[in-house]
Amino acid sequence: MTTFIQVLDPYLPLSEDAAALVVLLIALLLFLVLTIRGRLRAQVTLRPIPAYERLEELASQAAESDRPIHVALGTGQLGTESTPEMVMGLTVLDYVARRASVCDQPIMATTGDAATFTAAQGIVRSAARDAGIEPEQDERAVVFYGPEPYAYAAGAADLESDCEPVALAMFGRWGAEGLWLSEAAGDADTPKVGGAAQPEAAALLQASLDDCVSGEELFAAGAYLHRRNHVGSLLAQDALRVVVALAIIVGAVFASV
Amino acid sequence: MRKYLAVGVAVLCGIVALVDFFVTSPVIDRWGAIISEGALILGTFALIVGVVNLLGTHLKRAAQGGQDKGLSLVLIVALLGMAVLGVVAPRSGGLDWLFDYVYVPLQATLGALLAFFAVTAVYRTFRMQNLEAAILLVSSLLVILVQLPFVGTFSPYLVKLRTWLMAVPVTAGVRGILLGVALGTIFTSVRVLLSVDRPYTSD
Repeated sequence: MTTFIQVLDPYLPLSEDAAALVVLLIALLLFLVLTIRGRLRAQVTLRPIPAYERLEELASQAAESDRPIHVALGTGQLGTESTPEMVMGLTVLDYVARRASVCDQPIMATTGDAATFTAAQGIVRSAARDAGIEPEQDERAVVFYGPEPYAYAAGAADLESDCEPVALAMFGRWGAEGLWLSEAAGDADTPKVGGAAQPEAAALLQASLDDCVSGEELFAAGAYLHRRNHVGSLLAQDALRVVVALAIIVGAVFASV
Repeated sequence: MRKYLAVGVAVLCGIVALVDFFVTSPVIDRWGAIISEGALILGTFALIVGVVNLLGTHLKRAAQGGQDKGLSLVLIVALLGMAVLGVVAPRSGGLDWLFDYVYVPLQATLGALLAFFAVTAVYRTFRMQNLEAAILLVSSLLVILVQLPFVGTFSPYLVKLRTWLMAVPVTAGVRGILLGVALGTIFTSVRVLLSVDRPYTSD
Protein backbone atom coordinates (compact mmCIF):
# COMPACT_ATOMS: atom_id res chain seq x y z
CA MET A 1 0.00 0.00 0.00
CA THR A 2 1.43 3.41 -0.95
CA THR A 3 1.58 5.82 1.95
CA PHE A 4 0.76 9.49 1.63
CA ILE A 5 4.35 10.54 1.98
CA GLN A 6 5.38 8.23 -0.87
CA VAL A 7 2.81 10.00 -3.06
CA LEU A 8 4.31 13.38 -2.11
CA ASP A 9 7.94 12.25 -2.45
CA PRO A 10 8.48 13.15 -6.16
CA TYR A 11 7.31 16.71 -5.40
CA LEU A 12 9.52 17.10 -2.31
CA PRO A 13 13.12 16.52 -3.48
CA LEU A 14 14.56 17.78 -0.21
CA SER A 15 18.11 16.71 0.37
CA GLU A 16 19.50 16.87 3.92
CA ASP A 17 21.25 20.16 3.14
CA ALA A 18 18.08 21.71 1.76
CA ALA A 19 16.12 20.59 4.83
CA ALA A 20 18.81 22.08 7.08
CA LEU A 21 18.61 25.35 5.16
CA VAL A 22 14.81 25.45 5.58
CA VAL A 23 15.14 24.92 9.35
CA LEU A 24 17.84 27.61 9.54
CA LEU A 25 15.73 30.13 7.62
CA ILE A 26 12.72 29.45 9.86
CA ALA A 27 15.00 29.83 12.90
CA LEU A 28 16.36 33.16 11.58
CA LEU A 29 12.86 34.49 10.92
CA LEU A 30 11.58 33.48 14.37
CA PHE A 31 14.72 34.88 16.00
CA LEU A 32 14.41 38.30 14.35
CA VAL A 33 10.67 38.64 14.97
CA LEU A 34 10.76 37.51 18.59
CA THR A 35 13.95 39.41 19.49
CA ILE A 36 12.47 42.68 18.19
CA ARG A 37 9.19 41.88 19.94
CA GLY A 38 11.07 41.00 23.15
CA ARG A 39 12.86 44.35 23.14
CA LEU A 40 9.62 46.27 22.66
CA ARG A 41 7.85 44.48 25.50
CA ALA A 42 8.65 45.66 29.01
CA GLN A 43 9.05 42.33 30.74
CA VAL A 44 9.07 38.68 29.70
CA THR A 45 8.50 36.18 32.50
CA LEU A 46 10.82 33.19 32.42
CA ARG A 47 10.29 30.04 34.47
CA PRO A 48 12.71 29.86 37.42
CA ILE A 49 15.87 27.78 36.98
CA PRO A 50 17.35 27.17 40.47
CA ALA A 51 20.95 26.89 39.23
CA TYR A 52 20.98 30.44 37.82
CA GLU A 53 19.21 31.85 40.87
CA ARG A 54 21.80 30.17 43.07
CA LEU A 55 24.61 31.53 40.91
CA GLU A 56 23.31 35.07 41.42
CA GLU A 57 23.29 34.51 45.20
CA LEU A 58 26.79 33.05 45.11
CA ALA A 59 28.08 36.02 43.09
CA SER A 60 26.80 38.35 45.83
CA GLN A 61 28.33 36.08 48.47
CA ALA A 62 31.69 36.11 46.70
CA ALA A 63 31.65 39.91 46.60
CA GLU A 64 31.30 39.99 50.39
CA SER A 65 33.76 37.20 51.21
CA ASP A 66 36.82 38.31 49.19
CA ARG A 67 37.03 34.78 47.75
CA PRO A 68 36.45 33.98 44.07
CA ILE A 69 33.94 31.72 42.39
CA HIS A 70 35.77 29.01 40.44
CA VAL A 71 34.23 29.03 36.95
CA ALA A 72 35.21 25.72 35.35
CA LEU A 73 34.65 25.77 31.59
CA GLY A 74 35.45 22.14 30.80
CA THR A 75 37.41 20.65 27.94
CA GLY A 76 35.21 21.48 24.98
CA GLN A 77 36.88 23.26 22.09
CA LEU A 78 35.90 26.48 20.37
CA GLY A 79 35.62 25.79 16.65
CA THR A 80 34.20 22.28 17.03
CA GLU A 81 30.69 20.96 17.69
CA SER A 82 31.04 21.95 21.36
CA THR A 83 31.38 25.67 20.48
CA PRO A 84 27.84 26.68 21.61
CA GLU A 85 28.36 25.06 25.02
CA MET A 86 31.71 26.78 25.44
CA VAL A 87 30.15 30.12 24.40
CA MET A 88 27.59 29.68 27.20
CA GLY A 89 30.40 28.88 29.63
CA LEU A 90 32.11 32.12 28.59
CA THR A 91 28.79 33.95 29.09
CA VAL A 92 28.64 32.69 32.68
CA LEU A 93 32.30 33.69 33.19
CA ASP A 94 31.50 37.16 31.83
CA TYR A 95 28.68 37.52 34.36
CA VAL A 96 30.80 36.34 37.29
CA ALA A 97 33.79 38.44 36.19
CA ARG A 98 31.73 41.63 35.88
CA ARG A 99 30.10 41.11 39.29
CA ALA A 100 33.53 40.47 40.82
CA SER A 101 35.21 43.41 39.08
CA VAL A 102 32.60 45.89 40.30
CA CYS A 103 33.66 45.02 43.87
CA ASP A 104 37.35 44.58 42.95
CA GLN A 105 37.19 40.92 43.94
CA PRO A 106 39.38 38.06 42.62
CA ILE A 107 38.33 35.97 39.64
CA MET A 108 39.19 32.32 39.00
CA ALA A 109 38.53 30.31 35.84
CA THR A 110 39.92 27.12 34.37
CA THR A 111 39.65 25.58 30.94
CA GLY A 112 41.13 22.74 28.93
CA ASP A 113 40.93 24.48 25.54
CA ALA A 114 43.53 26.97 24.35
CA ALA A 115 41.15 29.11 22.29
CA THR A 116 38.68 29.27 25.19
CA PHE A 117 41.61 30.20 27.46
CA THR A 118 42.47 33.26 25.35
CA ALA A 119 38.79 34.26 25.11
CA ALA A 120 38.41 33.86 28.89
CA GLN A 121 41.48 36.03 29.51
CA GLY A 122 39.99 38.69 27.26
CA ILE A 123 36.69 38.55 29.15
CA VAL A 124 38.40 38.88 32.55
CA ARG A 125 40.51 41.83 31.38
CA SER A 126 37.52 43.54 29.72
CA ALA A 127 35.46 43.15 32.89
CA ALA A 128 38.23 44.75 34.95
CA ARG A 129 38.72 47.58 32.44
CA ASP A 130 34.98 48.30 32.22
CA ALA A 131 34.83 48.47 36.04
CA GLY A 132 37.56 51.11 35.96
CA ILE A 133 40.31 49.06 37.62
CA GLU A 134 43.66 47.89 36.32
CA PRO A 135 43.39 44.39 34.76
CA GLU A 136 44.68 41.76 37.16
CA GLN A 137 48.08 40.56 36.07
CA ASP A 138 47.94 37.38 38.13
CA GLU A 139 48.19 34.51 35.63
CA ARG A 140 46.13 32.36 37.96
CA ALA A 141 42.98 34.41 37.19
CA VAL A 142 42.52 32.11 34.18
CA VAL A 143 44.41 28.82 34.04
CA PHE A 144 44.81 26.39 31.16
CA TYR A 145 45.20 22.71 32.07
CA GLY A 146 45.29 21.03 28.67
CA PRO A 147 42.71 19.17 26.57
CA GLU A 148 43.08 15.78 28.28
CA PRO A 149 39.86 15.56 30.35
CA TYR A 150 41.19 13.82 33.48
CA ALA A 151 44.32 15.96 33.53
CA TYR A 152 42.12 19.04 33.40
CA ALA A 153 39.91 17.76 36.20
CA ALA A 154 42.91 16.89 38.37
CA GLY A 155 44.50 20.30 37.79
CA ALA A 156 41.27 22.20 38.44
CA ALA A 157 40.63 20.19 41.64
CA ASP A 158 44.16 20.97 42.80
CA LEU A 159 43.61 24.68 42.13
CA GLU A 160 40.41 24.50 44.18
CA SER A 161 42.28 23.16 47.20
CA ASP A 162 44.93 25.85 46.71
CA CYS A 163 42.67 28.91 46.33
CA GLU A 164 39.58 27.80 48.36
CA PRO A 165 36.90 29.49 46.26
CA VAL A 166 33.52 30.35 47.72
CA ALA A 167 31.77 28.14 45.13
CA LEU A 168 32.29 25.99 42.05
CA ALA A 169 30.42 26.85 38.83
CA MET A 170 30.78 24.24 36.09
CA PHE A 171 29.36 25.52 32.81
CA GLY A 172 30.62 24.27 29.46
CA ARG A 173 31.23 20.97 27.77
CA TRP A 174 31.64 18.08 30.21
CA GLY A 175 32.15 14.36 30.08
CA ALA A 176 32.90 11.91 32.87
CA GLU A 177 35.60 14.26 34.16
CA GLY A 178 32.82 16.58 35.31
CA LEU A 179 31.86 14.05 37.98
CA TRP A 180 35.52 13.73 38.91
CA LEU A 181 35.90 17.48 39.40
CA SER A 182 32.63 18.02 41.24
CA GLU A 183 33.39 15.22 43.71
CA ALA A 184 37.11 15.83 44.18
CA ALA A 185 37.07 19.61 44.29
CA GLY A 186 36.63 21.57 47.48
CA ASP A 187 34.95 20.19 50.56
CA ALA A 188 31.44 18.88 51.10
CA ASP A 189 30.18 22.34 52.15
CA THR A 190 31.37 24.17 49.02
CA PRO A 191 28.31 25.08 46.93
CA LYS A 192 28.48 23.56 43.46
CA VAL A 193 26.32 24.61 40.52
CA GLY A 194 26.62 23.91 36.84
CA GLY A 195 25.42 21.67 34.10
CA ALA A 196 25.96 20.10 30.72
CA ALA A 197 24.02 19.86 27.49
CA GLN A 198 24.87 16.25 26.68
CA PRO A 199 22.54 13.74 28.44
CA GLU A 200 25.34 11.43 29.61
CA ALA A 201 27.26 14.19 31.38
CA ALA A 202 24.10 15.91 32.64
CA ALA A 203 23.03 12.67 34.36
CA LEU A 204 26.35 12.45 36.22
CA LEU A 205 26.34 16.11 37.22
CA GLN A 206 22.69 15.96 38.32
CA ALA A 207 23.70 13.50 41.05
CA SER A 208 26.75 15.46 42.12
CA LEU A 209 25.94 19.19 41.96
CA ASP A 210 23.69 21.09 44.34
CA ASP A 211 21.84 22.76 41.45
CA CYS A 212 22.19 21.54 37.90
CA VAL A 213 21.05 22.61 34.45
CA SER A 214 20.75 19.98 31.75
CA GLY A 215 20.22 19.96 28.02
CA GLU A 216 18.91 23.18 26.55
CA GLU A 217 18.79 24.98 29.92
CA LEU A 218 22.54 25.52 29.51
CA PHE A 219 21.86 27.72 26.48
CA ALA A 220 19.54 29.95 28.53
CA ALA A 221 22.38 31.20 30.77
CA GLY A 222 22.65 34.61 29.13
CA ALA A 223 18.92 35.32 29.28
CA TYR A 224 18.73 34.40 32.98
CA LEU A 225 21.87 36.22 34.08
CA HIS A 226 22.81 39.52 32.46
CA ARG A 227 22.04 39.33 28.75
CA ARG A 228 18.39 40.30 28.43
CA ASN A 229 18.81 40.52 24.63
CA HIS A 230 18.97 36.69 24.64
CA VAL A 231 15.34 36.42 25.76
CA GLY A 232 14.10 36.74 22.18
CA SER A 233 16.15 33.73 21.09
CA LEU A 234 14.72 31.71 24.02
CA LEU A 235 11.21 32.53 22.83
CA ALA A 236 12.19 31.63 19.25
CA GLN A 237 13.64 28.35 20.54
CA ASP A 238 10.33 27.48 22.19
CA ALA A 239 8.41 28.39 19.04
CA LEU A 240 10.67 26.30 16.80
CA ARG A 241 10.33 23.37 19.22
CA VAL A 242 6.57 23.45 18.70
CA VAL A 243 7.06 23.62 14.92
CA VAL A 244 9.46 20.65 14.95
CA ALA A 245 7.16 18.60 17.22
CA LEU A 246 4.19 19.25 14.91
CA ALA A 247 6.32 18.37 11.87
CA ILE A 248 7.33 15.06 13.51
CA ILE A 249 3.69 14.20 14.29
CA VAL A 250 2.47 15.19 10.81
CA GLY A 251 5.34 13.29 9.18
CA ALA A 252 4.63 10.19 11.26
CA VAL A 253 0.95 10.35 10.25
CA PHE A 254 1.78 10.85 6.55
CA ALA A 255 4.25 7.97 6.65
CA SER A 256 1.60 5.69 8.16
CA VAL A 257 -1.50 6.63 6.21
CA MET B 1 36.57 51.14 16.25
CA ARG B 2 38.37 47.97 17.33
CA LYS B 3 35.09 46.51 18.56
CA TYR B 4 33.35 47.14 15.22
CA LEU B 5 36.32 45.65 13.32
CA ALA B 6 36.18 42.49 15.47
CA VAL B 7 32.41 42.20 14.98
CA GLY B 8 32.72 42.76 11.23
CA VAL B 9 35.44 40.13 10.80
CA ALA B 10 33.56 37.60 12.95
CA VAL B 11 30.25 38.06 11.11
CA LEU B 12 31.90 37.98 7.67
CA CYS B 13 33.86 34.79 8.46
CA GLY B 14 30.72 33.18 9.88
CA ILE B 15 28.66 34.01 6.80
CA VAL B 16 31.37 32.74 4.42
CA ALA B 17 31.68 29.47 6.39
CA LEU B 18 27.89 29.06 6.40
CA VAL B 19 27.53 29.77 2.66
CA ASP B 20 30.44 27.38 1.96
CA PHE B 21 28.43 24.61 3.65
CA PHE B 22 25.45 25.03 1.33
CA VAL B 23 26.95 26.33 -1.93
CA THR B 24 29.44 24.58 -4.19
CA SER B 25 31.54 27.28 -5.84
CA PRO B 26 35.32 27.44 -6.41
CA VAL B 27 35.51 30.99 -5.03
CA ILE B 28 33.47 30.28 -1.89
CA ASP B 29 35.25 26.95 -1.36
CA ARG B 30 38.63 28.66 -1.53
CA TRP B 31 37.68 31.35 0.99
CA GLY B 32 36.04 28.77 3.23
CA ALA B 33 39.24 26.71 3.21
CA ILE B 34 41.33 29.82 4.00
CA ILE B 35 39.10 30.61 7.00
CA SER B 36 39.19 27.01 8.27
CA GLU B 37 42.95 26.73 7.95
CA GLY B 38 43.39 30.17 9.50
CA ALA B 39 41.33 29.10 12.50
CA LEU B 40 43.47 25.97 12.83
CA ILE B 41 46.67 28.02 12.78
CA LEU B 42 45.31 30.50 15.33
CA GLY B 43 44.26 27.58 17.54
CA THR B 44 47.79 26.21 17.43
CA PHE B 45 49.24 29.55 18.53
CA ALA B 46 46.59 29.73 21.26
CA LEU B 47 47.82 26.31 22.44
CA ILE B 48 51.34 27.72 22.76
CA VAL B 49 49.95 30.61 24.83
CA GLY B 50 48.09 28.11 27.03
CA VAL B 51 51.19 25.96 27.58
CA VAL B 52 53.21 29.06 28.51
CA ASN B 53 50.48 29.98 31.02
CA LEU B 54 50.56 26.48 32.51
CA LEU B 55 54.36 26.54 32.79
CA GLY B 56 54.26 30.01 34.33
CA THR B 57 51.69 28.97 36.94
CA HIS B 58 53.71 25.96 38.06
CA LEU B 59 57.09 27.69 37.87
CA LYS B 60 55.71 30.35 40.19
CA ARG B 61 54.34 27.71 42.55
CA ALA B 62 57.64 25.81 42.50
CA ALA B 63 59.57 29.02 43.22
CA GLN B 64 57.27 29.97 46.10
CA GLY B 65 57.80 26.61 47.78
CA GLY B 66 55.13 24.94 49.84
CA GLN B 67 53.90 21.37 50.01
CA ASP B 68 52.95 21.09 46.33
CA LYS B 69 56.29 22.36 45.04
CA GLY B 70 57.40 18.82 44.16
CA LEU B 71 54.27 18.12 42.11
CA SER B 72 54.77 21.33 40.14
CA LEU B 73 58.37 20.32 39.41
CA VAL B 74 57.21 16.88 38.21
CA LEU B 75 54.71 18.56 35.86
CA ILE B 76 57.32 20.93 34.46
CA VAL B 77 59.87 18.13 33.89
CA ALA B 78 57.23 15.84 32.31
CA LEU B 79 55.87 18.59 30.04
CA LEU B 80 59.28 19.70 28.83
CA GLY B 81 60.54 16.13 28.52
CA MET B 82 57.64 15.01 26.33
CA ALA B 83 57.86 18.17 24.23
CA VAL B 84 61.61 17.79 23.62
CA LEU B 85 61.30 14.07 22.87
CA GLY B 86 58.43 14.74 20.46
CA VAL B 87 60.45 17.34 18.58
CA VAL B 88 63.88 15.69 18.63
CA ALA B 89 62.89 12.05 18.15
CA PRO B 90 59.20 11.86 17.16
CA ARG B 91 59.39 8.32 15.79
CA SER B 92 61.52 6.91 18.55
CA GLY B 93 60.40 4.09 20.76
CA GLY B 94 60.83 6.34 23.80
CA LEU B 95 57.78 8.46 23.01
CA ASP B 96 55.66 5.37 22.39
CA TRP B 97 56.94 3.83 25.63
CA LEU B 98 56.02 6.94 27.63
CA PHE B 99 52.51 6.95 26.15
CA ASP B 100 51.94 3.20 26.59
CA TYR B 101 53.46 2.74 30.05
CA VAL B 102 52.99 6.12 31.75
CA TYR B 103 50.20 8.15 30.10
CA VAL B 104 47.67 5.37 29.42
CA PRO B 105 47.93 3.74 32.91
CA LEU B 106 47.57 7.15 34.58
CA GLN B 107 44.49 7.85 32.48
CA ALA B 108 43.03 4.44 33.37
CA THR B 109 43.74 5.04 37.08
CA LEU B 110 41.89 8.35 37.10
CA GLY B 111 39.02 6.79 35.16
CA ALA B 112 38.80 3.93 37.66
CA LEU B 113 38.14 6.43 40.46
CA LEU B 114 34.94 7.47 38.72
CA ALA B 115 33.14 4.37 39.95
CA PHE B 116 33.68 5.42 43.58
CA PHE B 117 32.72 9.04 42.86
CA ALA B 118 29.54 7.87 41.15
CA VAL B 119 28.60 5.75 44.16
CA THR B 120 29.17 8.61 46.63
CA ALA B 121 27.26 11.04 44.45
CA VAL B 122 24.28 8.69 44.13
CA TYR B 123 24.38 7.87 47.86
CA ARG B 124 24.16 11.58 48.68
CA THR B 125 21.24 11.92 46.30
CA PHE B 126 19.38 9.03 47.97
CA ARG B 127 19.89 10.61 51.39
CA MET B 128 17.95 13.68 50.27
CA GLN B 129 14.75 11.57 50.39
CA ASN B 130 12.71 13.54 47.89
CA LEU B 131 10.64 12.51 44.88
CA GLU B 132 13.53 12.84 42.42
CA ALA B 133 15.75 10.63 44.57
CA ALA B 134 12.96 8.03 44.76
CA ILE B 135 12.57 8.06 40.95
CA LEU B 136 16.36 7.73 40.57
CA LEU B 137 16.43 4.78 42.99
CA VAL B 138 13.58 2.87 41.36
CA SER B 139 14.75 3.45 37.79
CA SER B 140 18.39 2.62 38.63
CA LEU B 141 17.45 -0.66 40.33
CA LEU B 142 15.13 -1.61 37.50
CA VAL B 143 17.73 -0.95 34.80
CA ILE B 144 20.47 -2.76 36.75
CA LEU B 145 18.25 -5.81 37.31
CA VAL B 146 17.11 -6.15 33.70
CA GLN B 147 20.65 -5.63 32.39
CA LEU B 148 22.00 -8.65 34.29
CA PRO B 149 23.16 -11.31 31.77
CA PHE B 150 21.25 -14.16 33.50
CA VAL B 151 17.96 -12.27 33.81
CA GLY B 152 16.42 -14.50 31.14
CA THR B 153 16.60 -17.49 33.49
CA PHE B 154 14.08 -15.83 35.85
CA SER B 155 11.54 -14.91 33.23
CA PRO B 156 11.55 -14.29 29.46
CA TYR B 157 9.38 -11.23 30.10
CA LEU B 158 12.31 -9.52 31.83
CA VAL B 159 14.29 -9.72 28.57
CA LYS B 160 11.36 -8.15 26.73
CA LEU B 161 11.11 -5.52 29.47
CA ARG B 162 14.80 -4.72 29.01
CA THR B 163 14.41 -4.36 25.26
CA TRP B 164 11.31 -2.18 25.69
CA LEU B 165 12.97 0.02 28.33
CA MET B 166 15.99 0.75 26.12
CA ALA B 167 13.96 1.15 22.93
CA VAL B 168 11.05 3.26 24.15
CA PRO B 169 11.32 5.43 27.30
CA VAL B 170 15.12 5.77 27.37
CA THR B 171 15.42 6.51 23.65
CA ALA B 172 12.44 8.86 23.77
CA GLY B 173 13.89 10.78 26.70
CA VAL B 174 17.35 11.04 25.15
CA ARG B 175 15.91 12.15 21.80
CA GLY B 176 13.82 14.81 23.54
CA ILE B 177 16.89 16.17 25.33
CA LEU B 178 18.96 16.06 22.14
CA LEU B 179 16.23 17.89 20.22
CA GLY B 180 16.35 20.68 22.80
CA VAL B 181 20.14 20.72 22.65
CA ALA B 182 20.03 20.95 18.84
CA LEU B 183 17.65 23.91 19.01
CA GLY B 184 19.80 25.59 21.64
CA THR B 185 22.86 25.03 19.46
CA ILE B 186 21.09 26.55 16.43
CA PHE B 187 20.03 29.68 18.28
CA THR B 188 23.35 30.16 20.07
CA SER B 189 25.05 29.99 16.68
CA VAL B 190 22.50 32.42 15.18
CA ARG B 191 23.16 34.84 18.06
CA VAL B 192 26.91 34.72 17.44
CA LEU B 193 26.44 34.99 13.67
CA LEU B 194 24.21 38.06 13.98
CA SER B 195 26.56 39.52 16.66
CA VAL B 196 23.83 39.61 19.32
CA ASP B 197 26.22 37.50 21.44
CA ARG B 198 29.83 38.69 21.18
CA PRO B 199 32.13 36.56 23.35
CA TYR B 200 35.14 37.96 21.49
CA THR B 201 34.55 41.58 22.60
CA SER B 202 33.80 43.25 25.89
CA ASP B 203 30.02 43.40 25.24
